[in-house]
Amino acid sequence: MAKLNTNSNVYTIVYASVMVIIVAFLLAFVASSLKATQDANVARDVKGQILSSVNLRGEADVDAKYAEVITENADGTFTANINGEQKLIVPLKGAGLWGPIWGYISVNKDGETVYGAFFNHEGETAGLGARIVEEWFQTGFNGKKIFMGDEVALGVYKAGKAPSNLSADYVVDAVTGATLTSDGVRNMLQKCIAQYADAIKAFKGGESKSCDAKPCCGEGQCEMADSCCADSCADCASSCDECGACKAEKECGACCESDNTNK
Amino acid sequence: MGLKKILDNMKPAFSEGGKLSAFGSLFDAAETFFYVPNETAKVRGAHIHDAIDSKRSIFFVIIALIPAILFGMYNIGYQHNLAVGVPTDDIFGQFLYGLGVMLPKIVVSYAVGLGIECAVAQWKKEEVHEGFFVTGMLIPLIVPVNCPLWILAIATAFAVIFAKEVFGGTGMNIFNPALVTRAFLFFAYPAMMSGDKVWVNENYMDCINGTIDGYSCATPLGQLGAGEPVTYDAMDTIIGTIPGSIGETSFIAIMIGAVILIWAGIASWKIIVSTFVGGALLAYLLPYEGAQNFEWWEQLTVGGFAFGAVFMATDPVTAARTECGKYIYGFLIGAMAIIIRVLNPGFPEGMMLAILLMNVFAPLIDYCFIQSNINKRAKRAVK
Amino acid sequence: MSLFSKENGEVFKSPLNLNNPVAVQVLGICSALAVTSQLKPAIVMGLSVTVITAFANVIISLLRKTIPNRIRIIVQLVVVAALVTIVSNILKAYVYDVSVQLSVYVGLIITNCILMGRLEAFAMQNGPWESFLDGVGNGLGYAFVLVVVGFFRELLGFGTILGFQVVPDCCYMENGGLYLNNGMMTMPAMALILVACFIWAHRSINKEK
Repeated sequence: MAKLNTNSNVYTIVYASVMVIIVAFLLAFVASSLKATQDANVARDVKGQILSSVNLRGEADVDAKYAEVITENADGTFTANINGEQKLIVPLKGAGLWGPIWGYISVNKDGETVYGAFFNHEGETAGLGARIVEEWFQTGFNGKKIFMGDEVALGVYKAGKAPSNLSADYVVDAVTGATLTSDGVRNMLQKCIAQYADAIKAFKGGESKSCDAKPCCGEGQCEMADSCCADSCADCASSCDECGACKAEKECGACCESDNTNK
Repeated sequence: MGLKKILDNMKPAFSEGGKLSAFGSLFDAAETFFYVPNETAKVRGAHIHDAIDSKRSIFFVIIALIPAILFGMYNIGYQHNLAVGVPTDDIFGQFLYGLGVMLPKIVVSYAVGLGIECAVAQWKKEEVHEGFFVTGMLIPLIVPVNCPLWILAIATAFAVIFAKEVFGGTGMNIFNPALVTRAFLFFAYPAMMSGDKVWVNENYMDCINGTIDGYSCATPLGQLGAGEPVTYDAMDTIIGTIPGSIGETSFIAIMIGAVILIWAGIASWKIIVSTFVGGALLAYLLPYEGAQNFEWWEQLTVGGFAFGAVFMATDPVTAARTECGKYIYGFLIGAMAIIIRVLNPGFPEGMMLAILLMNVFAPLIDYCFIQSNINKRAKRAVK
Repeated sequence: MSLFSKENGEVFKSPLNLNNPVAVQVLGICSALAVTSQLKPAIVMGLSVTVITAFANVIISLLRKTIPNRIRIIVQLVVVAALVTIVSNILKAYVYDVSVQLSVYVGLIITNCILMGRLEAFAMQNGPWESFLDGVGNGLGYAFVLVVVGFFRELLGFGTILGFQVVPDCCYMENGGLYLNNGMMTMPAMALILVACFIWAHRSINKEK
């Protein structure tokens, strides 16, 4: 056979086309056959993070545990079932000092306190901001209170620098020497939890509107009389003097509406 | 028998072929410490700057550092008493306390640095160059009080090897070795170099043991960086009774040193003045947002600005050498330091970085001025 | 020529030491800095580069007589890119956590000078078996440097080796001891200095050769 002229135009074009087609098929084949495994990996990584936020760290079989404990909600939050108790998991996204930070925080059924938290980052300073991934920092959130009234009061503060109206229940100590990353965590918490405040309220509120439930109002406020509980304690009158026409303390809430219904 | 005779008698043992020739460099250093060397610079290829041997000029720098050193020692004791809650009128006692804290640092810095320099000099069969005498004194002055000694040792070793010896020894380095020490400490052990717990010493034995039980107390730059009100008056920052790295707090002490250096002709007043001008201009243009109790000109008296301007920027080896270049060099250092401080949230202090950056550009600045000079003269010659 | 002749042995051995791609040819530095902050990604990266270089070398060597001269570099690039994509997908599927740490640097193997250098300099002129040996040799030489640098960076910067805590917890300053991890070891700048030290040691040991 005559020697192929490898420098001719026709040959070059044909060669290039054949090469492209072969490579394209090969890569498509590899990508599609491995896609399932890869997606499972990515999903498993996220599941592991979500499980960490309910204090289930280092699970051997992440997929099984996740399937057992977590359900996904339509609004992007997750509901966890831990030993019969329900927790709501809220996703967090924010900015640290050098790059993005993110995480998940789980809320107890009372809608007020933290059950667990998980944080991760892309490029914070090793030994300083990067310590937000360490367990000691994350478990420091367990049991902390989130809301003061309708505002998110939970925050990460340098020792001694928290606002004076916040009790220790709202404050998590910042990582020493990582002021800016800690500020980033605080901003992220306050912004993202506020976005899901309604979801948390709904989670807390639950189905029953029984008023035999524990008093929902704070100090100096009255329990609601019969029918429904108000959505927040701000709806209760703070004293019977405000209503004038009410007879007994227990009926304060009812007297604020002329038609005897609560808001 | 006079000292000279003793040294002359000892000399053969230390020369080539003598019994102690391994320590020849060390002997040479000691001899020239006491007596001006007999050799003169070779005529070919040397640029003669001054009639005095470099050892003498280095001595002047050490003398100029003395006010800052003495005040720094006093301040350590003062801040300690302030923190512990003890009355602060015992001037001498506080000074002694500070001396006790500083001395181990000075010893470590010199021992490690000179040890490495002597070893390298002996290996290359050259004399030990005394340039490290200044660097060794500067290093303890630019670290916070609670810096553990072993960390200081590692950083000094790193700086001497990688910022000095690798380039060819004294006179050949691009970067200021004291600042490379500080930069290494800053990036390698950030928890020890910044934050609130490192500036006041509770127990000077802690310093030697390296424990961090420091009293929590922020420096003015730390407070500005966190957006908190500054709790120190302008007068405090000028006198220097504020927390900070050991030698950098007292503006007055540093200025006394500056006067000594300028009068002795060792440091270039052009660099010092242009650094302050650059810093002042940028401080005026870039005030800290929402800073309370802080004038714009206080930027020049807090942190390492004054110390860096007088002792680090003027290092003849790493600074620009052309007279016009010095103005640009100093101005850019001052300007960059303020820019980094105010605009970068990650670095409350910018002086170290500004000087290291300009160290890189100093040869370029010189080159530009020399080239333009050559071009001007070429044009004149053609006419 | 026999499979394991002396020349072939030389082809394989020289990049491991005297002609080491990182230490002597000074190729492939940027990935050497970026992925070596811990030992495990360094090992995976080293192995990936070895595999890719070896097989790219073989493929190009097999095709060398048929490649049109005008699109020579493009063909080499396509072969390398295809191999890298395949390897990257495999990593993502089977060692996901390492692939996250390696992130973009696996893709950057395409631009790694070692590969293009060996393809042009060796595979285009030599037979497949020799090219395979050359690829493996260069890849392993590169991997060796990465492993050394990664070992020291992880040990001094995190106190661990392959994730196992080597420096005992009690030694750390916050637990009452005196030791601290060197934060700069986790930064690429220090990796550059470590590579420089490696080259320094390498040149000193091999001064006579």
